Amino acid sequence: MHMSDTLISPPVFIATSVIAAGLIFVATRRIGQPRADQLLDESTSAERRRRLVPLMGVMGALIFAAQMLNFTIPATGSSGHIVGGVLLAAVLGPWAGFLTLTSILVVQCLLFADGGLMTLGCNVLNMAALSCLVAYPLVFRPLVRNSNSTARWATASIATSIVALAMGALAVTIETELSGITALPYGRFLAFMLPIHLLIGLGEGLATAAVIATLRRYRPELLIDSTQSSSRSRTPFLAITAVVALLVASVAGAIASSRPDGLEWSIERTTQGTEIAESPSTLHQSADQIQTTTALMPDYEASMAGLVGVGATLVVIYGASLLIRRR
Amino acid sequence: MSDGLQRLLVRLSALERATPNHSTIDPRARIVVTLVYLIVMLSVPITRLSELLLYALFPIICAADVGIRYRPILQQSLVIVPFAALIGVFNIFYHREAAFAIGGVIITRGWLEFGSIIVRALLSVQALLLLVRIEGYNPLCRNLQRLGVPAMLATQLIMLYRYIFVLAEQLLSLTRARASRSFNRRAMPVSEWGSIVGQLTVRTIERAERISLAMAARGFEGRMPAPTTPPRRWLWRDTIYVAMWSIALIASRVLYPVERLVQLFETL
Repeated sequence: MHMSDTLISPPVFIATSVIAAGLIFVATRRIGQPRADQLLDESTSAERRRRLVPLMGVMGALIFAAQMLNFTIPATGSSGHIVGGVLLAAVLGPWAGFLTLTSILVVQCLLFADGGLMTLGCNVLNMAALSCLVAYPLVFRPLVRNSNSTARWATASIATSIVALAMGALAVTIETELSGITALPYGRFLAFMLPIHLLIGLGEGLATAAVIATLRRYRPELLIDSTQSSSRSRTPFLAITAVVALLVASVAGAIASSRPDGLEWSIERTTQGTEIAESPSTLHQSADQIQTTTALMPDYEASMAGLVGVGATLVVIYGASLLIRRR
Repeated sequence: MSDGLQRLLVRLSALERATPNHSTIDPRARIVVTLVYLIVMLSVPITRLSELLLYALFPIICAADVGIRYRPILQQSLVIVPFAALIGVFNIFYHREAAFAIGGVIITRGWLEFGSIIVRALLSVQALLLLVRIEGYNPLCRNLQRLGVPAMLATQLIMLYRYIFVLAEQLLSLTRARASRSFNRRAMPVSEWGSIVGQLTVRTIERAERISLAMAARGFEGRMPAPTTPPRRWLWRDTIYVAMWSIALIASRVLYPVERLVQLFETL
């Protein structure tokens, strides 16, 4: 699900980076502050705060290590690994889980080239925010509230993982289509992404359920939702805002960006062929306008000479760079 | 499995510190220039492959500038090609209009876009690899903090990196034990995986509790202390470095130098 830089355009990656940065800022504020229903037990929450920083570090490393260990997917012969959002949220809480998963994504980006630097915002939203800040509080918590049944915890893990992965796949599709780099239309891309990620979600859910079952057997107090008598689930306002923003952007994008021809055609029909001074301006269209006004050749590549020329220049400069280095 | 883990550890530890280089530029300046580069490069329209190729100069020049080899960077960046091709290939099918012809062979717009998607992927990965190679992971995290990344996230990044080694070693011993008990049976059902990772989680958290006590005893208050050597100060040289690269990159984006040159040749 890691998006790479190549399929995304500046307006989209700047917007998603700003949203992700905002969520990270809020997370750093919220971590360490006890929840309203924990205030009664001052010593426990202070203890938890002090423990949280090293715990986040090791839990992040744990997910990393767990990703190295593939499990066998039944009846397929292939193997999968865990993303870990739901597991992190179950042990650390939504905000600390979000920040930990974000740090995992940064490490994957910097050290493994898994997902680009510019798409970090997208990846943080698609994987960390949607699983820890949206799916966990809205699906997992209500399902396990005041419940002690193993089956219920397992069901919650699986359902939450599937919801998180499906939302992630939808978000990837929306962000990619808004960027307008791929020629694949919305519907087909989604039809390509969604079934795969529903299956991945099932695998992720089974794996999460297995780890949580082990934790419940040995150290049930580690799961933050297992000990609360009255969990007054506070709906994370910002998470909802982010989802709404994504949906609005996708609808706007579907109307304005991915089908400009259809839109112009329908406008033309409603105005009976009269000329329209300004077509609906979106970031893409204005970018296109800048491009056509600044470019010498408004159409794409008119000749291959440019390709050959730049190619030759690259070879020459690479050669020169070798010479400089040997000197 | 265990081979993979060991290789991973070796690769990771190589990236912790900077590759020896001649860099005299503040790491923050290099981070800013890399960001400018990525934004400008990714904003080039994908039908303009020749303009995009011009941006391949940046990693080559940067590598030569600090005196590290470009070829390994290029080789490492190739891992991204299959992923980029998987999505990029659809442009070939959807955009079939002819763009230009080489001899009798007509190149379609889809093929140009496919080429652009691959080049964009390669260049963005190379810029990133180069940044980490030149500065090293730990210094990079500290400088990200100096650039405004929250201290909590920066601390988390350093801690995460540190504990990957500790946990990978524990995981190695767990998987080795399993391998010797199970006569190297390859398949690992989810239930068995869950109990191994669950065990690891319990061990890990117990370890984290000991670590947090030890750190608290040494006066840790939730963020990394400043390094003992004072951090490098921002110099005029760094400002000039950022300004020069930004001007060059933005100018090459706005002025379309390749197309101008081609036109010039055609008029001559």
